Amino acid sequence: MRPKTPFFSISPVLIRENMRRLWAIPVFGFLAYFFSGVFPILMNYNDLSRIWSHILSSLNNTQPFFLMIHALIPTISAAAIFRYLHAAGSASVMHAMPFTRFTLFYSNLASGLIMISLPVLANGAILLAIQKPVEYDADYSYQISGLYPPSTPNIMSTPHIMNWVGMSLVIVLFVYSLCVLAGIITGNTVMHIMTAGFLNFILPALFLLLTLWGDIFLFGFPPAVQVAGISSLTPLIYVPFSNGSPGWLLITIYLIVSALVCLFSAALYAIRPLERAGDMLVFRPVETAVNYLVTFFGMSVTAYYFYAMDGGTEESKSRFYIGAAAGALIFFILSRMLVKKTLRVWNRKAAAGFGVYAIAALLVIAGFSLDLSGYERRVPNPDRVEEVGFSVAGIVSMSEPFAESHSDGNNLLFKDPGNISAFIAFHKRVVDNISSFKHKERDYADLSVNLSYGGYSFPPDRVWSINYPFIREDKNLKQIFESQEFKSLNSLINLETDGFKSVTLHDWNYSVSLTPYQARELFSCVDRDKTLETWEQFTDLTYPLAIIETDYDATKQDDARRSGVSAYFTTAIPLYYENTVKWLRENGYYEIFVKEASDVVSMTALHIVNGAEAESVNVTDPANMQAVLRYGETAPIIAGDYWSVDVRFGKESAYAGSTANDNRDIEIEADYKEYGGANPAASIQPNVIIYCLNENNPALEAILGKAGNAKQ
Amino acid sequence: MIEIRNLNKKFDGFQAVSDLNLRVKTGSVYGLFGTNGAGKTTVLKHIAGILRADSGAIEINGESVYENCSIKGRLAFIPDDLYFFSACSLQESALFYRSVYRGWNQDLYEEMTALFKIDLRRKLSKFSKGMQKQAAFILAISTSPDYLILDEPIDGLDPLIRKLVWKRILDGVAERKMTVLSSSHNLREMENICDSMGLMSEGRMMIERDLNELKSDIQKVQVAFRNEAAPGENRYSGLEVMHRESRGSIDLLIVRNPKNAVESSIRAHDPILLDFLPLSLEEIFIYEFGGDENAAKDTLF
Repeated sequence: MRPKTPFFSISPVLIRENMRRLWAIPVFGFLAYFFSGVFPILMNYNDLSRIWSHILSSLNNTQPFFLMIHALIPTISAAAIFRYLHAAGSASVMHAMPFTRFTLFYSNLASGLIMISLPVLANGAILLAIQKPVEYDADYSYQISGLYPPSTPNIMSTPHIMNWVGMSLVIVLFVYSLCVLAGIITGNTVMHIMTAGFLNFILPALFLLLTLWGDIFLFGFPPAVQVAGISSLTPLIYVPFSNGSPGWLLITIYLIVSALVCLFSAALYAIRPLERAGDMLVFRPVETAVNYLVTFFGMSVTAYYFYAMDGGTEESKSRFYIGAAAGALIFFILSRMLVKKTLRVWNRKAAAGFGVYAIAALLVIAGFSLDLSGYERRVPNPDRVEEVGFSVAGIVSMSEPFAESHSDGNNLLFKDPGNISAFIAFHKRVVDNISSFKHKERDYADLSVNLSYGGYSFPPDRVWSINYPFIREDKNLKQIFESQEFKSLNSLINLETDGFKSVTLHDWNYSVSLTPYQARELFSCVDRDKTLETWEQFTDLTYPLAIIETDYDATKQDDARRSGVSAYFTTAIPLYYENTVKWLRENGYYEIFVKEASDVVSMTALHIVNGAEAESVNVTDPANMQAVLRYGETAPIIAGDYWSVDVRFGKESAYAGSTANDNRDIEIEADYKEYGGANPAASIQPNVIIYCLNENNPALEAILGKAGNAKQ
Repeated sequence: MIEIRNLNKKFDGFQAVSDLNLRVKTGSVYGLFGTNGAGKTTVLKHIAGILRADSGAIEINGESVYENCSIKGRLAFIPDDLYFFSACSLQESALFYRSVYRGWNQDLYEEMTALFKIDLRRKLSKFSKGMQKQAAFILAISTSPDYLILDEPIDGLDPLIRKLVWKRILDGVAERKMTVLSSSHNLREMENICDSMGLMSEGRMMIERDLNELKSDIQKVQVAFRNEAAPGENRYSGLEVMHRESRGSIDLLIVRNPKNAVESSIRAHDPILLDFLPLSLEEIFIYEFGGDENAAKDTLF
């Protein structure tokens, strides 16, 4: 007759014994949290504003020491508590005692929970006891330290401390549950700790690998830097990533996953073969899983190494396959040696196992390389798309989201049905030309095009590398760019600000600051010119007259959440911005930035072919010089064939403009003080500009066709 | 009573125990013998409720042992590979055992610690193997177990302590009808203690008998006759001779028959010498398996 075993039971005696033996772990945890978090606060208690960033990062769990402790204490606790499972003698003695397996498991689980919770709770209690209002430096917080400002000015309030306690408990609980599972499936302590680390990072690592595969094989697959998606797979990464606020949904998921992992561990404990104590892994299926997982990781990394070493192009894929084959075999044998604890692992059974893996790997590789899922060619149905996010970055940029409400952080958001249809038509055109993008005929400069579809969960975002001529010639993008919707989105009116902290006009030689009043006038002109700008003008690479660099208060006063946070944007002033150029002329700035042949000391044009200098021309004719200054471009279109023109301007003229400006800067500085802006004093940059001349550039024809140039 | 019926256990495809049956009477001492790898420890771990059987039943007083806390609370197991909580002294371990085992006898514990002269406050992990074994005995005996399961109990103990240990165990058997099951290689030491014994080989129970019964069934005799036997004459017909060895005119026989039957059968041929020699347990097992040239000898020694 077999007695009924209750699924859940706890022995206080065992818990007490664990705490008596292993008290040093929570004490160590307490001291680690205390000295890395609380102690610096106590040391600066008279003036906590000096360490506001430490307090903020600690309570947001972005502090590296806290993260290390969050990972370390659960791992040590689980390793110490379940150590008895990893030796035949201890496993026998513990299981010969009058406890059921569930009692042993849950009592030890509870002991660990106490051990990992006590240090957090004790430090939380101390923080609550010593709390006092601490304000943060919003500007520094957002711009320099990367710390996202909290919702209230006081960063050491009770909710902040309680949030730290809660989030820390969520993290340590999640990590601990996986460490416990690792202890149950492994047969020795070293393997336990290794597996604990492996389990805690396996999901982000697998996700990363899959995006890596997609990145290599699927044109347009979002690159493997989707940090938010990957990091959300474990709170150990995501809580700091989200500045201590992962949201209730994720917190609930983390807690449910932790609970499920514990229940799964309990079920495994009940059937754990104790006779395998001392082995690497105690369950045969886990051995197989680890064997295959390690092989997959090793295969992917080796394949990627081979691929990257060969330049990471479409043609490098043959190296990828070689790397995959070599990596699979090597890591299959290595991982088998590890789990079997012997060097003699290659036998008929292993060969069969490798054969099974090889078939599965071939299917995966074929699935990606032949795009069996049809990912690359899938174009969404326009009727189901509610919104399109779009940006272009590279030698032409169309991504400045002036207003958060009109962007998803990176892309401008379009809702006009006409524009949505145009985006889908553009998408289709890209799909029809995928082969030409993969097998580049010419070494064109690529633009990174980011396209996402709101309200349409599949397919996900596309990030394409598309050559400049293709973009420039695209009628759909022209339609979108010249649409009322884009002009409205692109307007500086969208800037959500109470004021500018500094506005600077500059080129590569000169820099001048504008008063806030001047800045508003200038922006009004720029806005009008942006409205009139055509797609052809926008995608033209001709050097702009100057750049406007603006540092501004990013929020309006009614948004207390980010009060005082700085933001920054730049926008170019091309010569065809008639209203803006007129304003510059009227205010005396045009003469500072306009380039004249008479300012040039020397001008040397180099023909760059495949990265090497093929020929050189000294440009001496003033008309030719003027042509270069007028038509010179900012970047090469074909990386392997363009002209680079090194232009040195006269020192005297460079300083002349700046000196004239210096007197004005004193007044400007005073004007900005009311906005709390930085010193906007002018600075002198090196007086050299390098222009590019691409094929068909009028200046190139002038240089090569006319006399007065000295060919070398 | 401890009873195992048709126990089977495989480890990674290796059949460690095969269709094993075993019975230990309440209040008796049972010796389980066999070479290394015979499966003794595996059987003991099943009885202690540590391992789960692939098939078969392991019962104590009719109740399954596995996951049965009431049975395990009356059972003490001392493995060959000892384990104590890290950094624990005997005193600290005793505190834990006292709260886990209802039958803990503090007086017995104090008496035994005095007897074995063990430092109560010293960490057990710092003890020698022999001292650790003594500590394990003290803890196990102090729980006043009804069932004591011992795996190679006397390894590492000096002769004096061995005697002390066995005395305490036998006291428990005599006073409380404690049932003892012990595995061992040492037949000579165990034959004076055991009531019954089992011999295992390659996961199977080769023989399981009551010791007195076994000894009364097998005789070792030395015989000599005045004249040589006539051709075709067999002076030992009617006897089950397991082994025969002749040195000159003297025959040394191992016979599986009761003493009376052997004596009357041989005396009928008028021997000039008939001596019954003492027979060790070791010899009984050897000849039971077919003599010293037989592979069974390797099973034991």
